[in-house]
Amino acid sequence: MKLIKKADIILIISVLVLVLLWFLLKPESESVVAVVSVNGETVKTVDLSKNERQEIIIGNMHIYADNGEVWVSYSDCPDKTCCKAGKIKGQGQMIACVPNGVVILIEGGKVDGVTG
Amino acid sequence: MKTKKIAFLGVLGALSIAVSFLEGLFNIPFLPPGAKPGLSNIVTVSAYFMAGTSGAIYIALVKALFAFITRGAVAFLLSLSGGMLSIAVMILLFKMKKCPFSIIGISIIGAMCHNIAQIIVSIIVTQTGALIYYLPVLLVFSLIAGAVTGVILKTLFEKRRERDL
Repeated sequence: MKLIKKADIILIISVLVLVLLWFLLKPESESVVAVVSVNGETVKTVDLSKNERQEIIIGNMHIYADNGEVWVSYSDCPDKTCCKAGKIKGQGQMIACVPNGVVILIEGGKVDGVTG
Repeated sequence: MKTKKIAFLGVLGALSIAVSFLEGLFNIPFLPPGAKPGLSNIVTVSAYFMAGTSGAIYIALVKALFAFITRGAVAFLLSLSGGMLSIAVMILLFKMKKCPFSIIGISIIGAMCHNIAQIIVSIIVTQTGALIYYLPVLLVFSLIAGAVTGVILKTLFEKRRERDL
């Protein structure tokens, strides 16, 4: 059995090309917002261009936004993947807390409900 | 099931739990949150070669139950869906008469299936379609994780052949 076959290399290259295309084709916009959703419904949209600390509390999750970054400081979920995710910034990045159904996604676009 | 097979699968089951647990202890730099190298897949594939399809399914079930006990129902669903889809696809590829992929390609496909199943379950659980944006990053890491497990599996198989186990 050969260690690596031609089909393996084709597979690796095609995945890399597809992912590269995905990132190249993604539109970028200037204003950046963090969209917080619970079970698919958007509950809060936070403007990340403001340089002040904003706190969002959803159930037993504490989410902070400051200086263009968003992070989860506390969550009651069992695995704490959301807390370990650390601070995110930049469009397209996200923190997901699957047990709580909470997803925080950084998007470009208009802010429709600024929260302080 | 023969006694020998039961005992053997018990050992492999314990090994897969130990490997998953150890992986979870370290926060490996550069890996996206929640992503793991998936080294316990080595145990699952070994179980398939030494104890057949039922052996591999058994290992995936043991891992999912361990996730349920330690991290709850959602972790159980994520572990089970990922484990089942990846072993199903990998076993199909192993059973193909002329599989174009080597063990490395098959491991990479297994790792990608693991991630695809988990993203689909996460989307269903959170009802948030945007989670699909996480998939490209995970797929790139599947390439690395799959290649690493593939190389380890190949070394394992060769050692096994030498010793005629």
